[in-house]
Amino acid sequence: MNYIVGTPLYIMSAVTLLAILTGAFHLKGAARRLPEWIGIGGIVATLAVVTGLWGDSQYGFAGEIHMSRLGILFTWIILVSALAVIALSWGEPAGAGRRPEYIGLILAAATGMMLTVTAGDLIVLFIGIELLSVSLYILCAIEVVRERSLESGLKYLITGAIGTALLIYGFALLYGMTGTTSIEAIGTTLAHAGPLTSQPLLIGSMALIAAALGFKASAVPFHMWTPDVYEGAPTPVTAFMSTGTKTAALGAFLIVFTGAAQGMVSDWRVLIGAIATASMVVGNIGALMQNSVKRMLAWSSIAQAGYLLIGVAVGTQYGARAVAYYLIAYVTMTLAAFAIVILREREVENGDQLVSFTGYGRRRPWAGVVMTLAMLSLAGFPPLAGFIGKFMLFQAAIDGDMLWIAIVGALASVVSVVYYLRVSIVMWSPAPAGEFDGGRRLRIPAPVAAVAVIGGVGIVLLAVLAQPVIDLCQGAAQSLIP
Amino acid sequence: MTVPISAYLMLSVGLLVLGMLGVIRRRNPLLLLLSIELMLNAGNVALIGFSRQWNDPSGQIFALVVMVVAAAEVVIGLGLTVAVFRSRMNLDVDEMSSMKG
Repeated sequence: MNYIVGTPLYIMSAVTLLAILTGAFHLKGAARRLPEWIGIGGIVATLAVVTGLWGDSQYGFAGEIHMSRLGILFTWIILVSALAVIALSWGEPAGAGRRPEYIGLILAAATGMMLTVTAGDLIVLFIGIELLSVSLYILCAIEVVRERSLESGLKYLITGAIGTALLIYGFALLYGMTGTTSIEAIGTTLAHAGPLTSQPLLIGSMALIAAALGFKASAVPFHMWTPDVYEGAPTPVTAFMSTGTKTAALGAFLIVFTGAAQGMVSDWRVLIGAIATASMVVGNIGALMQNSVKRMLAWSSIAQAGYLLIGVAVGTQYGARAVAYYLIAYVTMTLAAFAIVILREREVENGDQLVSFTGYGRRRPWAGVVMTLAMLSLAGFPPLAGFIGKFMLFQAAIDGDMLWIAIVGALASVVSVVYYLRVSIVMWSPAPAGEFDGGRRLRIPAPVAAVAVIGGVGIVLLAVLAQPVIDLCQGAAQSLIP
Repeated sequence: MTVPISAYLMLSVGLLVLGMLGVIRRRNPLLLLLSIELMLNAGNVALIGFSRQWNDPSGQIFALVVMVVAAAEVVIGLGLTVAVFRSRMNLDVDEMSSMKG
């Protein structure tokens, strides 16, 4: 029994409880930031510990925790986005008066995401997904006085709970067919299970699990909740949902499908491929018609889930490597874009509307540059990080004899240029007369600006220093499929 | 006399379908939560049935975990429902359309 492997999870759980416990005291002055500092300290400590665990796969407890390189790489992505979200929430009106709960729930959700990507057992995978979902239901609705926030929380809870029910049923059938909940043992059993077509219960379990994880990753046709929930939730929470949850869900997809069900890849690749294609088509068309940047980013996150699922659908090591790299790029550019939206929201009413960005780039050139970089990268312009990621995904699809999905992806990217570039063009167009002269001029919270700038630099750095990052992703993919 | 696994499966599929129908038909969040609970328990019945079939306790442990999680989900669902009710005194998810899908 190896208990040391669980250390990152112990630290995060302890820090979560500590952050919530600070709510029991009346903190005054600078001490009101205590939950934030506890969270930041905990995340940095966890990052250090988890980095120390990088290496060959280690199993914790009786195999329930599987600290693979893939799990560690995904844990990094999750922790960095949690850190960025805490920075983005600096002075967030939604958290005013209940910062301990707000920060504590972000940490709890991050713990759940970590548990999901390092799970070695179906039960642990389930607990991880639920811990992250339940924390996010509350976070969406945390602004109880704002009706849209409540509405978004309730909608997320109901759709999320349906996803949970499907996930349990899928896991139950998988357990019934294999007689074990250990993911590794399931992989061994499935490798000798013969063709899927002769086993209807296995087909059912694969379809249910794909549907349930599709709910969490907001892939079509399980995406209906995404635009409303993303729009209604406080924007930093939206940023966390579109980065952290997506990472955890894709991690679960890789663990269950590419990892455990590797032996039947030819049977499920059509299923995942269909979900990926539908997400790319519907997500990109939906994003074309949005006037709110927040809603546009929601539809774009549906489309991006589609691109990411290409890497799962091919079921190869190249595919897993491409998913890991594209996730890193996607999280970086999404956080940068959300940071700019949050800046604008703090300044004006309805700051998420596209019109309120008119001329913003001329007023704050650095914000304009960051947003333009993020949009170009999301659209897949060379030589930015998003382009390299998409190139790797399409390359993996072609190598895996799925040329058609690469063609759909390339066409979908062309469509996406329209709505991504529209944001950049609006930002640099002349501001309407009178705008920005008298209006409120709020001081920008430094942490939010820092996330924007670091994100912008990250988009460029991920492209310039792509090779070392790709090597890391390669290592992670090897721990999934030798 | 032992109950065959097919009986457990039929019961659980029946519960799952009932729950799904409820989710599709009902518009009141309380009844939606109730239907979702039915779907979760369909999974539990299947887990326990398979656990008996394999003579392996992990299915039962899984079912216990599911119950705890379902309780947590319902608590939050009820809390949110009460909060929505307080703010508008009306419970119909179709009328929740301050945002358009």
